[in-house]
This record gives sequence, structure tokens and C-alpha cells, in this order.
Amino acid sequence: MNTLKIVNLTVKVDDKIILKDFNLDINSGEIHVLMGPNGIGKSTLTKVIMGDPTYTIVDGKIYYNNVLLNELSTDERARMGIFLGMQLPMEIEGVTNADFLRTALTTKEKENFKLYEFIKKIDKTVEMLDMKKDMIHRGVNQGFSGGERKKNEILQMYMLNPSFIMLDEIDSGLDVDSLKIVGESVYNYYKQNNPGILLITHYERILDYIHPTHVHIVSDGKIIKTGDYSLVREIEKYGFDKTNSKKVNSIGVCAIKEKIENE
Amino acid sequence: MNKIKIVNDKLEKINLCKCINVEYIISEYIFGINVVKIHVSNDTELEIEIDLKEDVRLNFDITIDKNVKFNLFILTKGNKGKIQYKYNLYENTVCNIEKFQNINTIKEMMITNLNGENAAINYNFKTISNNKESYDFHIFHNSKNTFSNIKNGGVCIKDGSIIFQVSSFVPKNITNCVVNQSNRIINLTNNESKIKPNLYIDCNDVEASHSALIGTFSDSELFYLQSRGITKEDAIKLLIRGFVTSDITNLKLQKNINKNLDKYWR
Repeated sequence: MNTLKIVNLTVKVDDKIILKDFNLDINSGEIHVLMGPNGIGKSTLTKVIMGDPTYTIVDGKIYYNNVLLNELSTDERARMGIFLGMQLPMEIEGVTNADFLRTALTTKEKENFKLYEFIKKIDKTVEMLDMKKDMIHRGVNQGFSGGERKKNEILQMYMLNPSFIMLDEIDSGLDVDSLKIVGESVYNYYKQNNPGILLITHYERILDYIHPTHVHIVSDGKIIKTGDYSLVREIEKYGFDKTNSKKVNSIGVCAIKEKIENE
Repeated sequence: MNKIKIVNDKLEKINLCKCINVEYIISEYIFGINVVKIHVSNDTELEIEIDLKEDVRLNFDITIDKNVKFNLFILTKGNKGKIQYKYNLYENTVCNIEKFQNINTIKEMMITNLNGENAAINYNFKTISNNKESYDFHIFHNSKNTFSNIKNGGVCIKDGSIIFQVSSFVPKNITNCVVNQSNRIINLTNNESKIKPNLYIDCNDVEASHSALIGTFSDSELFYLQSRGITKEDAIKLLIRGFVTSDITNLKLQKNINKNLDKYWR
């Protein structure tokens, strides 16, 4: 069992607090979805977990399998099995996808790295994701469309075989067919490898393929509501504001009454 | 492939086809300038390898006939030198140059004359600087519909510093030209490097662009690579290799570049 544990996390960037007293536990086999309006810290959370030096942890702790991540470098976290599929994957001039992945896997697997196995796996995954075969010899994300970049993130995920996956708006920029391929690929990986997944999305459609076990609404840098898949339907129907205010009203009217009603 | 190999003041012609005529004039004076005259009369490719163990001054005078497509690959290594390249292009001439340099100290000038309509030069240059390097490029659009795309890239290490001065000229009434300059220096030292991009354009009907960037690699690039488990040191090596080999299509030149990179970043 792999567990990511976030305890009272407060994060700032450029003197602005983005996350405040944020708490979340994710175990293997759980798919958590973070939803919420733009600019409230969802992407920040994934980057902080991954160790982006742009963000400063003011307070709180992040653990992965009881190892404190706060002081570890990004590459050390990645080698522990944490993966971030980014919202805007970087274009790296001149570095081919093949060189990039080979370097990453050689660093991780050292003398266990097998070139033939690597080539076989990459060919198979490229085919599964319906990507152009020559993309593996092209620069990382160089000249890629938005959809190709997102597929490339999933390709990297398959190659690196992580145990905890964060996908930040992996559905943005994808057409209907690509969304199906990406969604199904992520879910197949989940079924085969049982990782913990933290998914950030604004839309319900990706969740047709990746079925969440937990849904959270984030506002003002913390989780304000948690539920199951029905919460997504609620958000789709009422929007974030109304869904949130329903919760606020219930606490404001009488929290004890709500508890009795639930029982 | 057609090849010219120059070691100090000795020039060797290797497998040259009939469409490449090379004349070598050695200066009689101690600090004189040796001249290499190259005339290209048909579509072809040429590789020039220069190894300057001593302080040598060289002038290349390269003339490419009209309607000729010419691919040139230049590899320069060694200690010290002063080199001038002069390219003369005529009507419908297309000249593609890929060049890599790993030399201690060099002062270089490149003059390109686009003398005929539709003459085009694509210049892609990469260097690894250990010491002082200075480059002065002059591109003269002397005829209508001419095209120049100058891409310079350098990595400064150890005592390295680079100056790129790139000047493109389009006089009055020379219409419909395309003038591109792109310069980038990755400075991994505390030394000062400079880029001076100049566009001297006296004509309204021109498409022109220039870019100049000096710095190290961005934090976002490093974060992206590290997020896949690559150490910071390996990420920098990967980025340097990518930067120096990008847009180099010639396999032999690529191999040479990688060999040179291995000296510093194995």
C-alpha cells in the first residue's frame, strides 16, 4: 500500500498564500478528483507535491510512504514513484523523446535498464496512444499540438511506471477521440498497477473513463467539500458557487441537525 | 562526400567532384592570410574540417553559381585562429550551412552577398566556448526576393565568452526580402557575453525578425526533466546536448559534436 499524506500544508508564491492548512490522504487504488474555479491552488498543489522550487512551503508536511518529501529534490520524488502529468508540458529544444526517456529510465533503473525492452515498450505504448511513430525521435513536445503533448505525458507515465499519479487538466486540449484514448489508457494503467491518482479537471467528461472514488471541491486554498461521483453531477448542474453555498448554508443553519438527519 | 581538410597551413582535397573547384593561396608573409577560393558550379555537398593548432589566418572566398543548391558542413577545432568567410550567391542559389566549432580562441567574420533574385542562405551555427570567441556577421541583401535565416547558438564554459554581432542590410527598393536572425547564448560562467543583432533596413516591403537571448536554462525546463527522475546535473547535460545538436542534420557533424560534448559532459 502506497500512501500520500498531506498535513496542514500552507504554500505561498511571491508572498501570496495559495494553499492554507490543506489536508489530504490518498492511498493506492484511490482516485481523487480536485475540482474548483480557476486560480484557487489546484495546480499549485500538484507542483508542490512534485517539489517545484517556485513554490515555498510555509508550513505543513507532505509524506509519501511515511517519507517526508519537503526536503527532497524533484528528481528524488520522481524516483520514489511520483508522477505529474502537466497541464502545459514544456517544449525542450533538441532533446528527443527517446533520449529523454532513456535518460530518465537509466537514472531510475541503473544497470537493470534493458534497451531492447525499452524500445519494445515504447513502440507498444505509442501504438496504444495512437501517436505518430516518428514522434519518439522528435524533440520533447517540439511542434506538438495540445493533444499530442497530453498523449506524450501519458506515454511518459506508462514508461516510468509510477505508483502515485497526478494529472493536471490532462483533458484540456483533447478532441473527443483523443480524450477517449487518454481516459481509457489512464484507467487501464490504474487497473493494471493500482496506483493512487490525483486528478484535476474542470469537466465531467474525462470522468466517464476515469471513475473517481473521491471528489473534492477546493476553494480559498483548502478542500471545502468532499463527496463521491454524485458531487460531480451536482457541480455540473449547479456550478461551484451554488454547490459550495449549499454546504455553507447547511453548516450555518445547524450542524447538529444535519448530523442527526444524516444518521 | 566531398571534403577539404585544413590543418594549420596545409590543405588536403578529398574526393572532390568536378563541380567544386578549390584554389589555395598560401601567404608568403609570416603573419599573412592564407586564402581558400571555392567555386561551386552544380548541386552538391561539401565538408570542411579545420584544425588550427597554431595561430592561423584564413580567408574563405566561396562563390556559388546561379540555380545551384549547395550544402556545406563546417567543423572547426584547435587552439587559435582568425577566419573570414565570404559567400557570394547568385540568382536562385540556395546555400545551407551547418557549422560546429570547438576552438580555444577565435575571431571570425562572415560576409554574405545575396546578389541574385531568390538567392537564399540558411546558416545554422553552434559553438562551445572555452575562451574568447568573437563573431561578426554581415548579410547583404543586394537583390529582390532574397532570403537569409541566420541561427547562432553558443554554450560558454570554463573561461568562455562569446560575442555575436549580426548585421543584416536591405537597401532601398530591394523588395520582398525575408531577413531572420536568431541568437542564443547559454552562459554557464560568470563571464560577460554579448549579442548585437542589427537590422539595417531601408525598404518598406520586407519580412524581418530577430531574437537575442543570453542566460542559462529555465527553471521550468529543469523542473520538467527532474520531474521524470533525471538528476539536475544530467538534466543540464541533456539540455546542452539538445541545444548544440538541434537543427544539425548532417550525421557526421552530429557525431563530431557528440564526441566533443563527451569531452566535457560524459
